[in-house]
Amino acid sequence: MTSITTAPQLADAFAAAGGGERFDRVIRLAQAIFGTPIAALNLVGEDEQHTIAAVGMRTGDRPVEESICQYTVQQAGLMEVPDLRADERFADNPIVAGGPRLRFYAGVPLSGPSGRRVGALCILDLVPRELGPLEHKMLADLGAVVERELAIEAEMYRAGDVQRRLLPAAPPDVPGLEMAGLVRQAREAGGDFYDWQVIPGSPRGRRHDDPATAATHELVQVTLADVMGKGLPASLLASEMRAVLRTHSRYVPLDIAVARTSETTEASLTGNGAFVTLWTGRLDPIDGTLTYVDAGHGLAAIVSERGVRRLAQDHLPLGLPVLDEWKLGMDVLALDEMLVVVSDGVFNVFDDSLDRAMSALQRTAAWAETNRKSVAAVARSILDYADSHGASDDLTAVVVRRNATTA
Amino acid sequence: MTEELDQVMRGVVDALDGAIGCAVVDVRTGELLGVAHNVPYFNQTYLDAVAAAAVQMFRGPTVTHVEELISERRGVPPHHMIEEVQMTTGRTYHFMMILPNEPGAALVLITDRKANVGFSWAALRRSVLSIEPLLESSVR
Repeated sequence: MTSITTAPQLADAFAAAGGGERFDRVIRLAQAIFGTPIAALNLVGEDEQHTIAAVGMRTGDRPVEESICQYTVQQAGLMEVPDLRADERFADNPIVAGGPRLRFYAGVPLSGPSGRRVGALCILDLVPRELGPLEHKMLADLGAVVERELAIEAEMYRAGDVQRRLLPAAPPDVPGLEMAGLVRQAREAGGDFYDWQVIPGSPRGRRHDDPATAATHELVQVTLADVMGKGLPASLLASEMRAVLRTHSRYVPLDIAVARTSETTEASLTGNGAFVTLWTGRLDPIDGTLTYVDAGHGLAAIVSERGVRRLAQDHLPLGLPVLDEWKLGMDVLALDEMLVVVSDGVFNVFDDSLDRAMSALQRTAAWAETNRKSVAAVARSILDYADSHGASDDLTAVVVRRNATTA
Repeated sequence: MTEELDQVMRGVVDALDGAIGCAVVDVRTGELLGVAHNVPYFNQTYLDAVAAAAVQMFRGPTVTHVEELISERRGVPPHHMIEEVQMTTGRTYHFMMILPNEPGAALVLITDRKANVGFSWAALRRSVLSIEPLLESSVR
């Protein structure tokens, strides 16, 4: 919400974020307490009033000029209009003069973060009415419940914003490789992140058995990790993991980099009771040699027309009380193959959901189509697949393809 | 119109926890304009009796007499004053209301006593939004 400065802009942003259903319980309470035929939660935007939860009227948008709540948000306390027909501001309003011919309105303004009034919780009736002092208090109490929910939402949005900024901007330009990464965030921030970096071909720190030793050129390291949990804590840990792994990765082989990352972040992870599943691999863009470490992630595969090859190991995630020894796995990414790494959203390590998704990509007809697409479009279609199969969590996909023409 | 009113009544009965039956009654004639219920023994005779009882509740001679006395005392022309009635029996609640913009008709909702009173009123009053447009030209 960085560019949002006014209350109406904030209201529009809240409305765009969706999820109004969770306010239904407040609407239910309003009905039980007041017995009014209509109760609604309205957000007053710049041009439109957004009804995000309601009973007795449709949710959706109406012009702000027709809004009664636009007056409520201008005052600090509850606004009550005992007879709308007798109030010149509302007598000609479409819902008063015609339609349901409403007579009574009471609304409590709702403050978003930093005290800006973004909307109102209101009740409406068909006959003139007056609320007593206890009823005023109860309506205000219900408003406070909604405000707390809005505050949590704003916090989540900020956490998600932090997380978005931590993702790498664009893939490195490496001849012979096409790469794309894509995150589709759930409403709350989560602990998914992906990263890539170019590892210099310096022999420093390499061991003789490192398959990459022979190469003197640059390698590309691709990482996808998921910190258990949600919200700001998970986002913060994700940013720490990313920074630490990047730093170690520069100087040592991948398995050692993972072990050192585990040591460095141990205190943060165990202190927060969190663990991290991680898949990280180094790819030689010239010959396709791929070394990788799978720390409890299990959702990486090489896909081609010929089939799907899972790149999974039995290693434990980082942050568990039992330290593992993360050993390198090895494979080769052929020129007609594609490396796909995804986060768990719908894809589960323990069932065949990833295989099914990959099979959908590699079916002969689909594969020709997949090959024509950019890697970014392939990543998008993987997330679309996940969405259409009921993903509710954050979803991340990284796709890497070797490019024969420039290799 | 009766069919459409029946549908609105069915909507109330189906949506409200504890609802037993719901009806629109013409309070000038006692005629049932629309009805829905979940009780096998509610036959036409029974429903007509309930409708007649509702009419008595709002337009009965004793009630009318009291209204006349009050009006006389206040020095205003006699008029009907009762807008809503809530009644409790051993096993049921009855919610009754004159339609605010169609005073020739009343709504009756019967629920069991596990129903929430606020919810019941909210559901009945909300049904007015659908009923009044249907009655607009026919009852006046």
